[in-house]
Amino acid sequence: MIATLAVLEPLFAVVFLFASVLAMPTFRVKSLLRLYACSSIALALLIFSFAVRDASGHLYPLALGTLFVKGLVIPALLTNAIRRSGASERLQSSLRAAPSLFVTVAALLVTALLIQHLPFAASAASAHVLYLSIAVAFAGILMMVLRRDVFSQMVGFLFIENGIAAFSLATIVVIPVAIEVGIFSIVLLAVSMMALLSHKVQELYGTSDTASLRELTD
Amino acid sequence: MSPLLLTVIQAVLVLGLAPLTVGLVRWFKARLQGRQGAVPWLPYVALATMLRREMVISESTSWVFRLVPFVVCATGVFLVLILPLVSTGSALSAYSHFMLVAGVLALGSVFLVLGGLDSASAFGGMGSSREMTIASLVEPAVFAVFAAFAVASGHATIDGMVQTGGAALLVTPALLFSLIALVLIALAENARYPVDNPATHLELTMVHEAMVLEYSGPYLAMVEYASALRLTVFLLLLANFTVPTSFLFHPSAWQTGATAAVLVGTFLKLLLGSFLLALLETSIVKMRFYRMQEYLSLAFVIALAGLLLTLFL
Repeated sequence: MIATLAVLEPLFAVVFLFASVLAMPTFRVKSLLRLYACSSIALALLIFSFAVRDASGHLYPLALGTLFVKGLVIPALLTNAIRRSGASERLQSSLRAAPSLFVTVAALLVTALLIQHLPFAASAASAHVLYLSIAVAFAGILMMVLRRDVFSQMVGFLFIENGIAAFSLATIVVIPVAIEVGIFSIVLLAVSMMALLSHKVQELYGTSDTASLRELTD
Repeated sequence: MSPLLLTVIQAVLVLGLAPLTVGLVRWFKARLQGRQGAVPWLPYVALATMLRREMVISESTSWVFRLVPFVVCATGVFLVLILPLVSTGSALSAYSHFMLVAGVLALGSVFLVLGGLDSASAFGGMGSSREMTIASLVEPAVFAVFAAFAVASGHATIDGMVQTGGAALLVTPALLFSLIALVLIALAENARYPVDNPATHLELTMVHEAMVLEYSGPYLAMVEYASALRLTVFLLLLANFTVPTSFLFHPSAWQTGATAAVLVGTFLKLLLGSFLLALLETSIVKMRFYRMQEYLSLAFVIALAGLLLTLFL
């Protein structure tokens, strides 16, 4: 059973990427958070299959932590925050669904071309995961750039964080547990702060659109 | 087991089960929506009734109108004969080149459109115009999807692509993108939600039903049977791309135990496929026609992503 999980590793890796790519044409808060949870769970399973393959016990708590914090707690926290703020379930973007997905796919291609010139690509533990991590971070940046509302930008930030986590998995593999715990608590703290901030924005401006924040008001 | 016999078995099985598949989808859908639902084998009775009925054909139609049911039905039967639905490596499998398959699919659509136009009714023209719009948007996505599978498997025939079955997903996981795009395409090709509503005759929404509105009797039976065939072909093909090949016949590996596995497997694939289709149709709404280009460009871009990742990863 556990050996099967290690065989499925490439599939987890692609689901991890697929969720972040599919997040681009998603304009409903709940679907977006579901995709983020899906991506996080795929990341957790990826870490788990790395742990099984290398027989390294250090990775098991990391996999569990990712599953619990990023797969369950953060999506639940954000869903709750959005419901309480009373913001619109429909997210705003500067681009429509199909063009934004097209831009993301173009970014995937650029990443694929870039990765061949990276100096540390040859020494990475897993070339596939290295590519996926950079692609997911790229997709997260694109989401922050293309989306206009606060919640999508938050989720974009979280996708970047997921990409960085996968990047460290592909290059360093094992990180001391204390540092991992630190990272999880920083992410949790950042999410709570952003949730609070978005609540304030919603209260003050009556909209979650960041375009309205650019203008000076009395 | 000779390849020719496998083709015959596949033809008998799929041609026989096609109306049941449509019936199953309708039954599952009714059950999911809290209705009693007609028995799943009702389409057999309906087809038999239509075959016995007299035909009413408009005087303004030409020979094209009479040719259409035969062409549409023949394209369906041809696909059943060449594609790896129940067995791989059957006698005609060398013909399952993906360009040919896409062409045959388009041929069926084009003739259906001609049939809709030929009667010169307002509905027929409207449905035909819509169908052509959708068909032209679907085509690039079809090529991108099968190109990805061709790159991953090293075969240009769909038979070769299916020979590794679901295991291909583990070797080339980027095919997951192509598979999702294929699902989106299958929904469009079969005139299902969110592209078309197969259960309505409202002029604002119908595409496929508008084109076949003028047909009656045996001709209608042929057109309906062809669309049932198409649905069955797509369900089995999608299933064969996702599950291991142990549920498929193969000429070199033939055991009596395997026969039962394949037969039960085929039935289960159709059962599960029609349940998932019914579930999807119950949980989503039909899209506005002018949003169709967005849906189909999404399918194309996802297929393109699958192709790029297969090429570069």
